[in-house]
Amino acid sequence: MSKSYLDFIKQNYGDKKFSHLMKKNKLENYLYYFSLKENVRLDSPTIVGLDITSKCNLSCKHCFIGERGYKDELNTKEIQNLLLTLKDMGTYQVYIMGGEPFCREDIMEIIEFIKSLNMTLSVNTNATLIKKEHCKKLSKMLNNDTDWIQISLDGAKSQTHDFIRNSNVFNIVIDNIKMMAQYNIPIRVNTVVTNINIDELSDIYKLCTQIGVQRINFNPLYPFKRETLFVTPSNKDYIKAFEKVLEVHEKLNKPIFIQQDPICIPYTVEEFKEFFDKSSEIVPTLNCRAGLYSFELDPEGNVYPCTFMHQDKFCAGNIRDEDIKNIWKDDRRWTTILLKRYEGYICEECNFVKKCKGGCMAAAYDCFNDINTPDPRCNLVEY
Amino acid sequence: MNLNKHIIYRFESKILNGKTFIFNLDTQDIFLSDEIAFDVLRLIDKEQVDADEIINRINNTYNIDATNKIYEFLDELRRRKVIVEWPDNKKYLKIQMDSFYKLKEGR
Repeated sequence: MSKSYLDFIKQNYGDKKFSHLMKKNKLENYLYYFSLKENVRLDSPTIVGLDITSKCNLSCKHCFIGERGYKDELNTKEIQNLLLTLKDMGTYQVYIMGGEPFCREDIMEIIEFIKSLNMTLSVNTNATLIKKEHCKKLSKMLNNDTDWIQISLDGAKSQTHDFIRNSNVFNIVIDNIKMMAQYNIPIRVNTVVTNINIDELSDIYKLCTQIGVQRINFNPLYPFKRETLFVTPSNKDYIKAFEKVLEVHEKLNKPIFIQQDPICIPYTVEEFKEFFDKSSEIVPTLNCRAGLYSFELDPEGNVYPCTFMHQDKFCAGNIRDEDIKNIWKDDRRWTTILLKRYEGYICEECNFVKKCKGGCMAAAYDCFNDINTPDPRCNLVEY
Repeated sequence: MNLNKHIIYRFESKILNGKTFIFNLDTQDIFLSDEIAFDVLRLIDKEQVDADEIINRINNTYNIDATNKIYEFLDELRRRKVIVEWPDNKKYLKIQMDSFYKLKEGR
């Protein structure tokens, strides 16, 4: 079944052609290896996500950020002070999210500050608000190997993208990607794969090769329990669609880098399990790092393990009340994650749990109200 | 003496009984050292102090004579391009000048 997808995973992680685009992974994987071996949390996060605003110019059908309704967002100075502390702690990667980050007037000031600290950066955007002036500045600040602007592209044609985005923005997004490419800005496209766009993945890839995209990630929809218009595709359908992308990828002289985030790899498929079990040195990053290596900050300064765990139960503190160093170092605030267990759960019967650690805790909590249950995408689970 | 801007360093107290991880984002070179290495790197990074000052501070902090250890470490940092300038230090200057004259005289 999944032969060529497996080959891709094997080759992609060791492909010298794209090794310059994976520079920042080496230290992270190294730390990950040692911390897993010794079963410890890191002294400081390697990567931090800043959710800088809940404001957005779109109202995408799948988005949940608007529901959170933040009113008192961190100001520029508060964000800069946090970044200084993170730099001092040893954090070296930052990603910015929203809402739509470019809705904030100080977005370029924040980006400039992060780059002045020599931290690597990615910014998640819908690309509809990016102007030439942004491009001029970004082209001077971003490092093409380690930074990128991540743009959401959910279809290869306007009908699909605009349906999901709930606005007629497809042409604006494509034009803005082209404009950014002209300024040599590193662009990563992220496609959230659903039942709506699963047949368009290879066309999305083809389109990206024509407009100057450097990297692409196909990210299966997070399996929300709540009702949505969209459905997370089965592993079988996802792999089938992905293999069509690979057919195109293999034929091109100048393919773009398919940078699958480890969380997007359907490791619950039997053949993959076997491979990952034997090849942890090649792909050592299967389980979630939330709270162990990373945290995310909401627009009001609350600290959570990840973007899908913005609930009081998982909140470790607020940077307006205390220093982030204290929040991070106090293991008692991260006990829901540290005390994750498998005994008495279905994962206990599975050898692969040593590698996957039960998968996505947030998805498990969202579906079963218990982070100790398996990731609902796992084929061991009858969901 | 300055830290190369591509260098990432961090101390992890719970890994291997406490290790400093030093990583060059550009060359991908990575190596591990001890807690003193972290203090040395911080002094270079935050205060741009010279070798003599580093030795003074480390010796006082740990109440040991780490002179040779620090010179060796600084040498390694230079070889690995972690620091971008040779230490502005009389001892190193003398070694540099000696090497220069040896080269000049064909020795």
